[in-house]
Parts: sequence; structure tokens; C-alpha cells
Amino acid sequence: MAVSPLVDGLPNPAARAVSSPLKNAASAQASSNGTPVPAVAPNATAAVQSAALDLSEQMNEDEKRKYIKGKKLGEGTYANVYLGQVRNDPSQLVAMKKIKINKEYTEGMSPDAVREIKHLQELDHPNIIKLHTVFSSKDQNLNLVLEFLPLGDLEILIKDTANVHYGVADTKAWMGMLTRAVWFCHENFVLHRDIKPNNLLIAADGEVKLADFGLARSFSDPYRPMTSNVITRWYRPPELLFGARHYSAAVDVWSVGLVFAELVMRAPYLAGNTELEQIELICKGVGTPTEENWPGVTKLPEYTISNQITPVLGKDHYNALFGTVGNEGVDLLMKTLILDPRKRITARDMLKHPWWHKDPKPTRKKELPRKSGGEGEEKVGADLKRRPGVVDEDRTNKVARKLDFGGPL
Amino acid sequence: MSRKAVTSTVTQPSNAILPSDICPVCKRVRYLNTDMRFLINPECYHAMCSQCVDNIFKSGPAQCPYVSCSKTLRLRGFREAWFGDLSVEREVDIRKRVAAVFNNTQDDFETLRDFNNYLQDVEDLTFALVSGTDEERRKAEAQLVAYEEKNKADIDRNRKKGREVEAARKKREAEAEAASKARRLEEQREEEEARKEEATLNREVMEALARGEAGTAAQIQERILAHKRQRIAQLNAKRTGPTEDEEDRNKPYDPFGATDLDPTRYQIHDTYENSWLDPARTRDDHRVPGYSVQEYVTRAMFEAFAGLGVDIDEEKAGAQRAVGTVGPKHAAQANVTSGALRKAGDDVFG
Repeated sequence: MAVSPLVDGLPNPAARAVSSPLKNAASAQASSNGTPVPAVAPNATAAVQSAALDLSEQMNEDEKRKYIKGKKLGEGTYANVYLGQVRNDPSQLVAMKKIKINKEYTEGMSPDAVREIKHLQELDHPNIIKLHTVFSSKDQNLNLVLEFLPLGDLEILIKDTANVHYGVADTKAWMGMLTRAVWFCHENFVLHRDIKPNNLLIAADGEVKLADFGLARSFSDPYRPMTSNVITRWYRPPELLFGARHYSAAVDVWSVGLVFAELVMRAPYLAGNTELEQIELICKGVGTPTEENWPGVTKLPEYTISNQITPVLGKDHYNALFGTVGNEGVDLLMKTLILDPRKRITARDMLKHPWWHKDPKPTRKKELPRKSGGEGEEKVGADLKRRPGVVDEDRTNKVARKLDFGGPL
Repeated sequence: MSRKAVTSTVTQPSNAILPSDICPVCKRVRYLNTDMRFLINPECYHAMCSQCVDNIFKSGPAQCPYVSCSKTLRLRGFREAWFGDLSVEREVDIRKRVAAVFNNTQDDFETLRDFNNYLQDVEDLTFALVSGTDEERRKAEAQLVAYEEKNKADIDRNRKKGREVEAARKKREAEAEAASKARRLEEQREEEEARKEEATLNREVMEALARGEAGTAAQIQERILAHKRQRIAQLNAKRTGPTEDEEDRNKPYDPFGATDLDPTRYQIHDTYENSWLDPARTRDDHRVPGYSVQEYVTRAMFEAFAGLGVDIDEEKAGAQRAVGTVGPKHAAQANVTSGALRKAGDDVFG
């Protein structure tokens, strides 16, 4: 057996000993990494095998044996997702995401998987999906053992207008959890770069968890360009649409703002079919980026706007659409949708906003509305197997159909 | 009597009493006009009946019909007086007006003394307006207007704040009211129950006797009574203090989820001099799309000091690690979203 991609891809645990204490919300713990830790009691077969395996392979084998793979929850081009159990305690369920070998990256792992592992193993927060461990299986497939979140995602709650009813208090609770997750990422210098309702999964107790770190990266050093082709189009901020190569955590905040808007409207606020249309929608729904409201914007590489210039929309516009969240809520939304990223609110300042303390108080997580039935499970499978950063084909179609019938957007 | 009152109001409006039966202007009497109402105008506080007001002012502003009064009044300004004593009415109006302008609260002052001095000044001004001579009144009036002009923004801010405080107070009161009402109802219900229990006592004793239970009638009664007391005690014990669930509900919301990530071992300054970073601060391709040098600096500082917080002995001693969310048993499916999947302390490199 050749050296497994897993051991290749991960820094060794000795180097990890200095891993920051800060990255773990629960700081009392021995190892903050996702590297395999041998099973407590290696069983007989493992012991027999051990003669033929080197240490890293042995560890990998032990890690693998800790879980039993169950039924398939979903299959995609990028990964398959299985339900799994912990061998020693079958009542504990996990989601096992098996990354398919990608034709484009036959030499190594797909960058999505690397990104996901790299960042998830460092982030430990109640509102971020937990990566329990990583191991490789026989054909050198990479397996991610993730927290199993059975209640679907925010998108199904938003879309199911017929059966799911929620109010401002619920929106506030969900936004609180989302903002905390984003804040935690940013405090740990990680850009998520794909925040959208179907990456917000719901745990059995109602806690919302940010998932899919396939596009995440750590904050860039100065003079080192990043790609601007990230974040699902509907949630992509203007600086990325204009092709910026050096951006900040403000890109995630824009997405958070649009998720907020979507939670209130129960439909995507700016759902463009192409990038040009997306810019157009931002101009109409937020305001046209100009030199006045965003000094220097015309110098961005792909700055293109139509001739029709809409001034930045005022509070009355937002009040008409989002007035249900109250004055403070509208204020917070407007601050997340400021065109100039330097003036946009930060995740930390979002949490300091007075809205959280206004009435109504956020709903407690166990009282949050949830979707009944087995749909959640399927949806989790679908969410985890998806390739990051794309709009669901089938979702776009539905929006188009709605348009045809003149229904609410 | 009325005539005298009228003359006195003309010369000294602060001594006027609202007439009750005869209109001082048209001399109509209540005896013939049972629905007579007297109106005043805060310009001069001269009372007249609503019919006079209609007759005189309907067609536009006119002079006050009182002989010695030269004020021009408008229909719009007339209203019913709240107080019978018009001098009180006038004083209250003035105080309202002054309070709307001088609306600072104690929080706006550094010391109690400052606040008290301010209150004293306001009261002096009010007094001059209410019962000063013409000269004093004019001066106070000018002072009031000047202050209002100068502190417009502050006044507006205080007024807004005051409204919020008032709304909060009203809400609190309503809540307290509702709670006490609920308590009263609860008490009533309890009493009712106790009475019912009491009433069944006799019947139960009779039934027990009929069943032929052991002991005398007195003993049986004693037994049943003891049993009842116990039940009542149980009922009462159930309702002591809020339940765990209620306590959880009443906890204040913490947007940060009880997590503090501010660095404790070093401080981040606003600027660090570094010529390598300067272009990143000024170059358009960094500046315009919002690239934040501060984020970079924060990260560099973090990475430089990250090792400071690590105590290997402590970490090794750390027990089993529990992470993620453990869902309540009853939640959706009976499974645990995550738990202590990895045991610590047996790291081969540890």
C-alpha cells in the first residue's frame, strides 16, 4: 500500500501541538486536529495487520474501524454521503462523506476536500459543523466523518411556505447562530466564501450549523491574489463580481445580509441568472456602485454597470420589504448590504448590534420551527455531496417557474 | 359675582376661575342652555362659552372680547380647561412647555450637584414665567427661546430617549399587571380547590364508615385529614419559584454565545509601522475592494503569540473531549449529533 493521501495531506501531529488554543471554543482538550488518534482498544484484526503496516497506515486503519458505514444518503459528482455509526456506541450517528477521485486531480486530492479538511479540523464551535475525523479507504478515497445533522437546512424551511411558519423571533435566533459562526470563522482568520441557506444545516436540537468549507481559505497575505470566482452567485458581493483579487472578511458579511433578507422574504432577494444580471439586480435592489458611494470602484478590473444609475436605496425601501424585523433589524440589514466593503459592518460588530436585545427575544433553539418527515435526511445528503459555490440547478428552475405564474419572487 | 371675576381676569389672568353658570361674554346662563361648555385660549386664558367662540372666531382671527384684553385669538387655539382654577391651568401649560425644552435627565450630568443646580435654574425660570412681573416674564421667555435654539439636537435626542423609557415603563407595568392578575386568579383557583376538598371530607368519612373500615369515626376522619393535608402540601410544593425551563427562557440573550475571543496576552494597536505593508494600505487594487491590513496584522500577531496559551501538561491532563451539540433525547430522532468521539490523552506523539 502506497502512502495514503491522508497522511500526505495533513501536517503531522507533533507540529500541531502549538495549534492555537483560541481555535477551540472548548479549550480543555488534547488535540485540536482531525488527525487520526488511535482507537482506545485496537481489536484483534488490527493487531494482526499491524505487522504489515507502517505507523501511519496503522493509525488510518484504526480510525476507519471506529465507524460502520450505513445506508447511502446521497450521491453526487463530487462525493457520496453515507450514514454512519460509531462502532463502540451504535446509537451515535455520523455522516460520512466519501470524496470521489476526481479526474482533474488524479495526482492528489481535490482542492475542495483539502480546504474542507484544513479548516474544519481547526474550527470547533457549536454553530460550525464538526469534523470528527478523516481517513482513507482502500481505493485511496478520502472519507470525512462529519457530525450528522438530521433536520435538513435553512433552505427547505425558507422554501416550504405552506407548512413551515416562522416569525421574527425565529429569524433572529437563526441569524444569531449564523452570525456567531461567521464571526468565529473570521476571528480565526478563515473566509468561508460560500454562505447560503443550504449550507446552513440544522442539528437534532435545532442548532444551525455552518457547513461546506469547500471554498474556504484563510485570510490572504498582502500582495497575494485570491480568486474572485467564489461564493454562489446570488450571495456574491459586488467587489467579487467586479473581479477584485484582494478582499476581506466583508465578502462573507454580504452573504449573511442576503441570507437575512431571504429569511424575511422567504425568497432569494437578488437572484441573478448571470453575473451581469446579478450586478444589475444589486444596482436595483441596493444601489449602483459609483465613485461617490464607493471611492475607487470604477478602477476595479471588471467594473461594468448599465447607464441607469440608481442612488443607494434608503431606509424606506428596506422598511417596505423587511419592516417586519423592526427598525433595528432593518438597520442591521442595511449595514450588511453597504456596497463599499470598507464601510460594511463586520461580523463582530453585527453581534454588538442593539437588534439582538430588542423585542422579540430570539426563540430558544429547541422551540424553533422545524420540518417534519424524513426529508431532512435526504437533504443533508444532497447538501454534503454538492459541489461548492454553485446554485442548485433545480432551485433556479423553480424560481423561473414561479416567475412565469407571476407568483412572489 | 361673575362680573367681578371677569374684571379681575382681565387685569390679572392668573387669578381667574372658570365660570360655571354664566358666560362672562354673552351672559347666557346654564339654566337656559344646559349643554353649555366653557372654553379658554392659552393666549390669555379668558373663558367664554363655546357659542361665543363660534360666533366671534368662526370667520377668522379676532380680538379677545374681554374689554381690557388686546390679544388676537384664533378658533384653533380654543380648548376646554382641565382645571377649574385657570391660573393652575396656565401654570401647568407653562411647566409642560418648559419641561419639553429642558428635558435633561440625571444621566446627562456628571454629579448630582450639577443636576440639582440645573433643576434649580429651570425652576427659577419657570417661576419667572408663571408669576413674575412683565419684565421678568419677558426675560425668562427670551432665555427659554435662546436655550431651545441652541440645544435643538440635544432636546430632540432626549425627547426620543424619554419616549423609549416611557414605552419600556408602560410595558413593564402592563407585564406586572398581567402577572399579578394571573397570580390572583391562581390564588382564587386554589382557594376554590381547598374549599372543595373541605366539602368532600364529610362525604369521604361517611363512605369510609359505610365500607366498614377499621377504627372509630374519629380515627377515620383523622386519617383522611392527614392524607388530605399531605396532598395539599404536595400541591403547594410544586409551585415554588420558576422551573428550570422558565429560568432558561428568562436568561438574557448573549449574541456572542458566551464566547470571548479577544486576545488576553497581547494587545492589538490600530497602526503598526511597516514599510512592507504601506502599499497594501494605499494601492487601489487592495484598498478599493476592502482588503484589510488590520486583519492581516491581527493574524500575524495571533500567530506570533499563539504558543503562549498552551500548557502541555494541562492539555494532557484534560479529560475526555465533548464537542458539538448533543441534542436533547426527544429531539426529532433519538440520536446524538455529536459527542465525545475521540479520546484524548492517548496521542502516540503525546
